[in-house]
Amino acid sequence: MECVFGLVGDGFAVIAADTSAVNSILVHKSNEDKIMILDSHKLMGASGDMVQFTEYIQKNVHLYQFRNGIPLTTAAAANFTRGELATALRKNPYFVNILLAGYDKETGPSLYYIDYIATLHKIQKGAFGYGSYFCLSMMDRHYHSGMSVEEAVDLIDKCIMEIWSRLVVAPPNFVIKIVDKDGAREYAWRETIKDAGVAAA
Amino acid sequence: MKLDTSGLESFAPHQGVDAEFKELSLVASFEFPNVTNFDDFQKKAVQMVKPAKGTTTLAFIFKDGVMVAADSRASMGAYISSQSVKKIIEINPYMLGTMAGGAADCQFWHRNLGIKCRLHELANKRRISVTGASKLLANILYSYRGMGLSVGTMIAGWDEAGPGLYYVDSEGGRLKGTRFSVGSGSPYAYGVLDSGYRWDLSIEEAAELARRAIYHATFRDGASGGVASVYYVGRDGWRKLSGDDVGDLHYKYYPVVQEEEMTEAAAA
Repeated sequence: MECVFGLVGDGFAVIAADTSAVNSILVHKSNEDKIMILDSHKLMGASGDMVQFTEYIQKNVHLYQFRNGIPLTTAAAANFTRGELATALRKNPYFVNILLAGYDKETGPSLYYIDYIATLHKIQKGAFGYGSYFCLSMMDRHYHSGMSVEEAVDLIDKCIMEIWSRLVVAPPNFVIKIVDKDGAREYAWRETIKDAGVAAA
Repeated sequence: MKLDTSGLESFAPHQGVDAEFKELSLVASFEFPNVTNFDDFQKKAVQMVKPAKGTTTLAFIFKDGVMVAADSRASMGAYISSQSVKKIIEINPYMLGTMAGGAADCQFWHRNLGIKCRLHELANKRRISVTGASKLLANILYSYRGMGLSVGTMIAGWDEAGPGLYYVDSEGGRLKGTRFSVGSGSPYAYGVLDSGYRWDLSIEEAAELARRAIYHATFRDGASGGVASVYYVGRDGWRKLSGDDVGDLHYKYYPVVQEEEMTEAAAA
């Protein structure tokens, strides 16, 4: 099951997600990137049925920027995403759980929790999937506000280690992405299985 | 949600044609069947098809291009309805699609994809990329999500960016990758494929790996069998390399050895 978790630190927000694409008992691939870069300063980590929905949000975020000349704030993007989920909910629901992280010049880093029934919360730390059973308590125990990048990634690593040792169908690889004043970017991969042969497909 | 019915459009005739023709060219519609429970039929249809992605198909990228292979058995529950189904569909001279799931769904939508690809070529004066073609198909299948289509396909081709391989299914999933196998026999095929795979296989070695993986899957999976077809997609397009009956392959890989006769010990 898909593990996505994230937290807010001192001037940055970080999201980690597993990278397996699974169909019942079969793992199709172990390097599927589930954290989409929405725009220069926003990340959207999604679990579930995500590609179509996150691309739709990404294109709408870009459209707003083209039309209005300025980018959306993270709060606005989160509320827009929640609105789309809510509208579709009673007709044709999307089964995606989302953690949306962003950095705004005026308000700094923020993290939003949006689940598949269009719940929206602004949070400091959060997690989705079976991994959340192990991560949430770990983050509650070790998190404090104003963590440095090293401390935050250390906590992420602790959570990944816990998932690997305790979850029966633990995903082998994780990707970590970070967003701060310099933008949204990939931070690191944590891999136990490397796909054979050619470099990333 | 808005369905993508562009594939079902009939194209309007040129102007200046009779009024008669104009009427005939309206999009055809069909009547709903006159049954008491209309919705259940759809659920039953989905259930009937669901277990029956009874097939083994595989494709992988290696240094010289893409190798695509499939079996040829069609099964309806425990009945083998055909041993000679073409599961590798020729979308255009440089792209192949594989069939798993509903045969009609795969054939129709691959044909439709071929039409869209050709239209793209005519409109843009260049061939469509494998990325673009797979995205077209994935978006169409996504718009029909939950309505009972059963398609598990791989789009393999060679475009300007080199060899490309995508997995697309009727749940709306689309994955880019270097090795895929789809169908009820896919776990068996993955075992052989993963252990024998190297990037720098030659074309003959890659074909043999593909053939062997299909054979082993047909051996263990009852819903796969018939003929193992192997296609190769290179810079100049695809060509069919072989089509071997898996029964023959079995005796080729595991020939029957005459057991030594037991002879009497020499009399003391």
